[in-house]
Amino acid sequence: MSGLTRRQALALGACGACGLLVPRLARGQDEAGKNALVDDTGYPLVEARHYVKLDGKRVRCELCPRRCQVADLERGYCGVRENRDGAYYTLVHSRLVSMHTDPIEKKPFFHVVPGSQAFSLATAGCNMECKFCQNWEISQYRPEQIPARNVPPAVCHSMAKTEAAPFVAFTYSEPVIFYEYMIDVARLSAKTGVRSLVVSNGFIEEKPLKELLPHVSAFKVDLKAFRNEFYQQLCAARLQPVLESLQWIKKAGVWLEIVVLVLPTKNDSEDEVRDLARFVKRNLGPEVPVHFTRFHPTYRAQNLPPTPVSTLERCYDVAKAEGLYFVYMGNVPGHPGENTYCYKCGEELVSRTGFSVRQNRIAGNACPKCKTPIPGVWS
Amino acid sequence: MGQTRRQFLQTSIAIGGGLVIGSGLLDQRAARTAAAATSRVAVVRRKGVTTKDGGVRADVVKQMVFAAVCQATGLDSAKDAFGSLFSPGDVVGIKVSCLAGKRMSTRPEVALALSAGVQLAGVKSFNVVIWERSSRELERAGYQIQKESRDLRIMGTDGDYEEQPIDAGSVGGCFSRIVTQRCTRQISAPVLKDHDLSGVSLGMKNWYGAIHNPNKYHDNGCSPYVADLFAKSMLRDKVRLVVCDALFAQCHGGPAYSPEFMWPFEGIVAALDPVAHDAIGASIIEQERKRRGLPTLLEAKRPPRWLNQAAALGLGTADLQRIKLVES
Repeated sequence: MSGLTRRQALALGACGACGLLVPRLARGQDEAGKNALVDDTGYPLVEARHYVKLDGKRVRCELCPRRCQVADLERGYCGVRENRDGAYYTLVHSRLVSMHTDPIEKKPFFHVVPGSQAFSLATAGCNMECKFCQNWEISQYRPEQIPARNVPPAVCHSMAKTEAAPFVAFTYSEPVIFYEYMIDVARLSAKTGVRSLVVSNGFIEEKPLKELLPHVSAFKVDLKAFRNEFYQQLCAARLQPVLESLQWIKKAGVWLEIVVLVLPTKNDSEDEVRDLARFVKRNLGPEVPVHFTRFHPTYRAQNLPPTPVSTLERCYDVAKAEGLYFVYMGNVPGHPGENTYCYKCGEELVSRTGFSVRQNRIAGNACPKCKTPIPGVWS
Repeated sequence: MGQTRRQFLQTSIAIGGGLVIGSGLLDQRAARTAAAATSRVAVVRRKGVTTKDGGVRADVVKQMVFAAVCQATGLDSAKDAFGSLFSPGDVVGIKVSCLAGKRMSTRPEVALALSAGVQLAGVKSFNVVIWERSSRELERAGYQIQKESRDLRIMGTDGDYEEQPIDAGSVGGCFSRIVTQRCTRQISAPVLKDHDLSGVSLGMKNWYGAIHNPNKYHDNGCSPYVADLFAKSMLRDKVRLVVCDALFAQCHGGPAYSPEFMWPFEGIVAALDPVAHDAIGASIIEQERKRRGLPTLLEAKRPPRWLNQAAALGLGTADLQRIKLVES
């Protein structure tokens, strides 16, 4: 190995900030790939939830709609769940490759305690392969290929408290694939008061999702597009399971926000945006915030240009015209589309620049001018 | 076993009796190698090469490997055979398959015989690299890591991948730098075994160990991903030879070691055409499955469709009727 790769440096950099917080509790791995098996390296070897045993030592994972059938010694599509002698294990419980305290607006959650901090974490792996993934250097790798730290759930809560973060956010890669760790951390929220946020692609089966929802405060789903072809061709996944997840989250009463990363020529047609907005209004409610965010070329989608701001503005206008109350634009710092406005009187309620909240005028969960309740988690 | 042998005899050709064009050794080598480069597959079997305790006789293995490479190239001596594939200035990788531990991985005896053969071509010992995805897998298969050795190198990729992915069909992966930077030539040295998704795991599937994200290539019975991956230039152009450790083979329950489905085939399979090699390997597994009353791979819903896809990409010959099988 000739020095650190960019990926390793990124991971170590993210971990390094937190390493200062708990030098005695978090144990690292100093050379990616050196230790391939978690039970040999000190990381917890936790049997996976939501799988069934089949004949011939095979298993079928029932965590996500891929429902991988996995032979002995093999891993699922996510790369982090492995069959060992007919039992299925997660290799990423407590094995964090990225930790950072972020503004909650970065997730983005715009209707969850604006200006607060979220202790954000991730493991390696993902159950999709989006050609435009912004975090592919962790999401598309296997756990043994990235330096990591062993952070048990209780330590995670301690770190969040040390950082004065009222939230833990499962984010960056794809929390569905570190489900066992996520739910173990989220279940501690009732004891510690540190609430849990999920930032996910929503590609998860009904049963594990419903098991998780009672333990989380808010859910942000990346709705990659509103066309199945997009999901198949650019994400190696399917749209319908994500739409179902959105409805289950909403029915469970968990606060939901949706982000659509707008890729020029791929998911930005007026018809598609209109269909998406109509789905949200009809099935989830007009109060569910929808963020249209700007794409920057990365990973395997470097042939596309950055999303023109005018395209985002068009998406914004179409969604508003369809009757959605809260539509936002993302990755365009300083644009008025970052602000929250009262859907009744138009009063500017939360003023933002990038991830910073300049002013929050929401008073008692309502518009200070017309007193209309503004949905969200404000305290 | 008997059926396998009969089929081999039906389609085999006698080596040494082929056409010789020109008078010099180089012309002879060129002619034979050109013929072999299309779709000749050598199967060398030696009764007693395996031992009852699961071991192998290293001296016999070496003879078998050399004989198989000679027959695959159509040349008479090991020096000429390896010399037709590798040059003294090459750095040669030998990609072994070690997922399943000691009992169902490429035997060190096979890899070391290949290393010796490559050195006959004038390649320096320190320019031969026996490698796998990780050092841990190599160690579990009985290899001693020699990463910094001044002699033969034995090492895992161990996270040393290219930083940018390369598209292989619809999936992108980062290649091991052992493939992209360290080695000028490669040998695929798989084992002969069944695979629960791809049907069989042989010479082309072996290259899943060269990318950082093999799990993304498993959908749809690994089709067309096995072919798409091998079609990348750093594999298609660098892989000169496939030599399969078929001393023990496994007809079901792969890729893990399943002793109840293992049998002593006592063979080495070699070819320059990776598709033809895998087609023959798949047929050997199919015949053993039939002998045991197991369903065919098609009936088991995991036929190796990637074979025909590889042929369609021009990577070799998948049609058994067009493959010249040389058995000894």
